[in-house]
Amino acid sequence: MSGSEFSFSEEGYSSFDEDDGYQLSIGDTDVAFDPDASQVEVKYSYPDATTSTKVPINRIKYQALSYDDVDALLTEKIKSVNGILQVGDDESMVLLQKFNWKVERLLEKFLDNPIRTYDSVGLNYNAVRVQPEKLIVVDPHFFCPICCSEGSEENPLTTFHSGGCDHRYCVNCYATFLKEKTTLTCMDTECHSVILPSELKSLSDCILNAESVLGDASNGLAASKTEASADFYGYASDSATTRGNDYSDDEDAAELDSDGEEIEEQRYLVEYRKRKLEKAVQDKEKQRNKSLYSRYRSKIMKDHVSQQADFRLCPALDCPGIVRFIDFDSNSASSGITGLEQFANQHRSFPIVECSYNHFFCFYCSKDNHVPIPCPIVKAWIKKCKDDSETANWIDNNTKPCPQCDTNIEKNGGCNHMTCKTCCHEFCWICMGLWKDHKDFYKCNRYQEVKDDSPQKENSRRYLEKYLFYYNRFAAHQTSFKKDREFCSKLDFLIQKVQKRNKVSWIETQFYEEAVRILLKGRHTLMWSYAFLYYVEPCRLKHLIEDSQFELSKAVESLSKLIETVKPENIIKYRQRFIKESGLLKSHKYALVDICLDALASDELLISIPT
Amino acid sequence: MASLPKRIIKETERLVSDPVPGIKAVPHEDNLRYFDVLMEGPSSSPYESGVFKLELFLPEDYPMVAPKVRFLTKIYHPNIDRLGRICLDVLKSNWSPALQIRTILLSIQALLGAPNPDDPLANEVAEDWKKDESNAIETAREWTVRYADKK
Ligand SMILES: [Zn+2]
Ligand SMILES: [Zn+2]
Ligand SMILES: [Zn+2]
Ligand SMILES: [Zn+2]
Ligand SMILES: [Zn+2]
Ligand SMILES: [Zn+2]
Repeated sequence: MSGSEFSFSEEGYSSFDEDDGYQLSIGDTDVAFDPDASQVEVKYSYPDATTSTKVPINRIKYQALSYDDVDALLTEKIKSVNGILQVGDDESMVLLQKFNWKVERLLEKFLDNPIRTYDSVGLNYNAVRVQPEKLIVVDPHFFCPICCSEGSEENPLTTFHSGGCDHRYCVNCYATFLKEKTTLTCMDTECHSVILPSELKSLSDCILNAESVLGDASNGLAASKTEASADFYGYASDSATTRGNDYSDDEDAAELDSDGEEIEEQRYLVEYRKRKLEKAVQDKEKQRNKSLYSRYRSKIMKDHVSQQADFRLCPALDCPGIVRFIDFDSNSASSGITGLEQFANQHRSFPIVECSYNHFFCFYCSKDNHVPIPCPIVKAWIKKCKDDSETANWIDNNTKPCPQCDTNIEKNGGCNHMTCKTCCHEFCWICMGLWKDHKDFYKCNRYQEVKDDSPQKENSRRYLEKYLFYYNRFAAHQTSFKKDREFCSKLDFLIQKVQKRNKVSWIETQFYEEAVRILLKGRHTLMWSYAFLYYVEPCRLKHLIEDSQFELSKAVESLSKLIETVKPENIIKYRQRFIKESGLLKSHKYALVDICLDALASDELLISIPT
Repeated sequence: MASLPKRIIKETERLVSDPVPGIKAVPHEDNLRYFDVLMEGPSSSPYESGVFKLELFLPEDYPMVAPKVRFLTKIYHPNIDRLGRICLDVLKSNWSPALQIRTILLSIQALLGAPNPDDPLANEVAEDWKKDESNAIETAREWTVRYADKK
């Protein structure tokens, strides 16, 4: 598999003909189809239609939309609704929002009683609104009852009011009041007059102008906007120069001894560009949050999307990415799948999608990429852990006594290969056994099922033991994952320090960042594989999965240990080991994923999820 | 302490110079956002002749968010719970920055005169109120005498 994992875009798809020319009609609650969005590539939730052993896999077709794509969709929807209502785009939007973006419901109510529907959102059907640009009034005699500021001839107050009433307040108070709101109304206690989007825009522009007049020009919207877009488009040439420099600096033959490594370097370069692009997008998002109006618009858009069954907001923190479900692939269609829930409940289906900012998540449960664990298991496990949290609470994952000398050991990092500082005993944090015993004959990831001939009383205890076995391991890796991630968040800073101190360029430290990312993803898969195996009945395939899981856990702990013990200033020296170990971890991870997928696709694997 | 917003200074001044009848609100000397409040029970209500102690605090974002108010004196009322917390729309979703400390205190006083057992905070009290109103009113009167007596 290539650089970014599960980059499941498939070549040779025909851009979906079925949906072309689809238009909003009365009674249809879907979004009007925007011609621009149809240009967006249609991707598949899985790269191939079969597993490595050619067992068919169910996939969904989707589009990763950008903020602008969805913004355009919303605009289109508003326009088409206004085409019917003829009340104005702004008014149509406010009405749509009130009716949770359900076109059908709005039209029904509106046609039934336009005046009442209109009034219900704080609009007045018969009144003429003041023009948005006339809502800003500069007044030397104004007293703002909210902040108690008073205007004067030298320092007049700038005021704002809704186009539907004349309750004026100073622009700063109004802006603060409206800042976090999606339903915009007059600030007066009794007045419920609505503030239209274009009116908010007028207030927003007024605030922005005032800010730039204040000499805040360098932070002003206009200035940094051009900067951001220059960055956005200029990144390629920019990094190309960097690359040239790097190579001339780096004519160290020992470091670049093989073609393979050069390919590695180029891959890092691609990664770097990708992340630079990501950053440009994040900056853009920041800009979006800057003005009162843009923040409002982005909230409205998210509200709109969250009400559409076909759309999902990317669950990654602050990510503006949105994924749109298009259809099921022909495999799924021919096995009679018509709904998403039905799809997700098949054990060989993974609706894992990738947003335009390269975050992978499950379209069905909105959780992080949980391949190879089927959605029902993810759901069942989360519920079980919640229900049994009392039982599991006594497991302390942070301090345990050393099995040899009893000294209390606190776990700081993510690695589970422990060395006692007092007696140098090396042990496994998860099973507390000797580390060197973790070889072929002893696998602490494997649960030893007991033969079922003991009395009923014993059963419930064994049931609990089994759960705790898996929970313990799941939780241990979860804790480790959090600790590794904490470390990862400090990485940018550490790497910059290393770059400065060792006078090396970013490209030479990429292997390190990459290693940490591979570690995190590996741990994530490892963690979930325990939840998975809890529900799998003992059989030959389960045994194979456990073997593969064991290899992955060794690779994970080994890389974790390496990252934990090598001080950032020494990473360059250990470059080869980082690359080797992360490569190994990656291949073990894919091996585990593959083996699970094959097992899931075969009928041999028995999964029992209690209902 | 950060300087006090003009709005709070103005409101405090007015509370002193032009007090609301039957309500006394005095800011703490060391924290001008924290008020001790004394409220007389409205006439022709079971709280008549009682004087109730409340605390009122103006959060950092006041007036964009409502003041926090709580009864310190024990009171038997369907919209006030055992901890003295008050269920009143203007303190929550219906708060508007155009409202003031005085309007809020007046609303609370009005709530004493017009209990609303259909939108309860103290469930048992509301149940009693709905089951047997005259008995509930009697209990409220007893509590007023016992806990909110003018000294
Ligand atoms: Zn003001
Ligand atoms: Zn108004
Ligand atoms: Zn995302
Ligand atoms: Zn899922
Ligand atoms: Zn020890
Ligand atoms: Zn172990």
